[in-house]
Amino acid sequence: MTGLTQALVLAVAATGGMGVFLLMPRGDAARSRTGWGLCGAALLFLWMLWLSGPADAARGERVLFGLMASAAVASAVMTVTQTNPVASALWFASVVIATAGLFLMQNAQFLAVAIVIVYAGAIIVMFLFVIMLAQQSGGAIYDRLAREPALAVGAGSVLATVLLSTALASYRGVTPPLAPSPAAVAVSQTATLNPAQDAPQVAGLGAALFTEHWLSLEVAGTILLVAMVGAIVIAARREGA
Amino acid sequence: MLTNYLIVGAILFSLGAVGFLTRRNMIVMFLCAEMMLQGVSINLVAFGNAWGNWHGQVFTVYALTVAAAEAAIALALVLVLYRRRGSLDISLWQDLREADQPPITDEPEAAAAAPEPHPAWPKLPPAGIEPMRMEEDLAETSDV
Repeated sequence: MTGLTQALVLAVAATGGMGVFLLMPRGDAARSRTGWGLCGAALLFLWMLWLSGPADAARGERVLFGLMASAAVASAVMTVTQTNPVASALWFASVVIATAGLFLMQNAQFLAVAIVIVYAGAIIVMFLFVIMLAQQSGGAIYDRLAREPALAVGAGSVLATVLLSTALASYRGVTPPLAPSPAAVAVSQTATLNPAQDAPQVAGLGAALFTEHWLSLEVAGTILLVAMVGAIVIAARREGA
Repeated sequence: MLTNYLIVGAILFSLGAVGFLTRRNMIVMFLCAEMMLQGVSINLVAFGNAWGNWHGQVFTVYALTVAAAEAAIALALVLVLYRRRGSLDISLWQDLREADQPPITDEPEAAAAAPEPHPAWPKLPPAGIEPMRMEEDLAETSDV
């Protein structure tokens, strides 16, 4: 990892952390203009970090990635810093849509559709909850006052620095094989299903799920059933309670 | 391109962690936890795509299932906690903290500096004369 990359990682974590800290709700109505500026600067450093990597993709793909990733990160900042939980849920929906776009660019069509469906349902339930439980729209003190934002943002900045440094030191410059190695083929019977080359991609994912990973699929179904029963048992109003 | 996706995943995870640590509304905390899962999913899909097999996407399907189960359980728990305390504030549950930790209290000047915002009621024109009501009508409708 070069010195420039390390400096960019530190710049992203520092400016982004300070920007998010200044944008956190702390009681007063107007949000800091410096916070917006610092978050914009962090996004700029993020673009420089993306562009400083090896150009191993087409220009259009890189531009598209930059737009969707910027939308995801900016919406995530808005989700964390909104005072109104309904607005927070809407910005989270924006994060989900941007993530679905990133999935689409990575040969994960089924997942792109699946997370939109799953999280759209979750967001609607969230709206219902907010409307049911919090009638005062954004007026509650616990929505307008963050708990220890300096400590939390500091911890988040350190976490981001460590994660980014590790990922960049381990994988920048590494060109992974787009075709599976013979050893991987010997280990896995579905490793020959290449997401980047197989035309029917949803069929390929289905084949991988129902042949090699059938046991985890059954376990996943059982988890959903148990969670459904558990949610009903937890939320049911007991007699006399 | 692999590292670029890893960068997005790491940043989404960190922002979700910050939100989970510092926000006090239980619904917003839940949203931030879901955002951390999104960051991990981006990582898994990126690795699977870079190495040319389906394992990353299979892992993400599994994580999505667990996220759905977690959403059901977490919202049921939020409902129960709301019934007990009548508020979504997570600070009301701080009697579950460690025994040697001091209790957290809101800074009084911060709470005083944040008055409840007045709701923006619509301005309606006066609609005629208020009708006369009988005393027994008032007695009947007072306890509705």
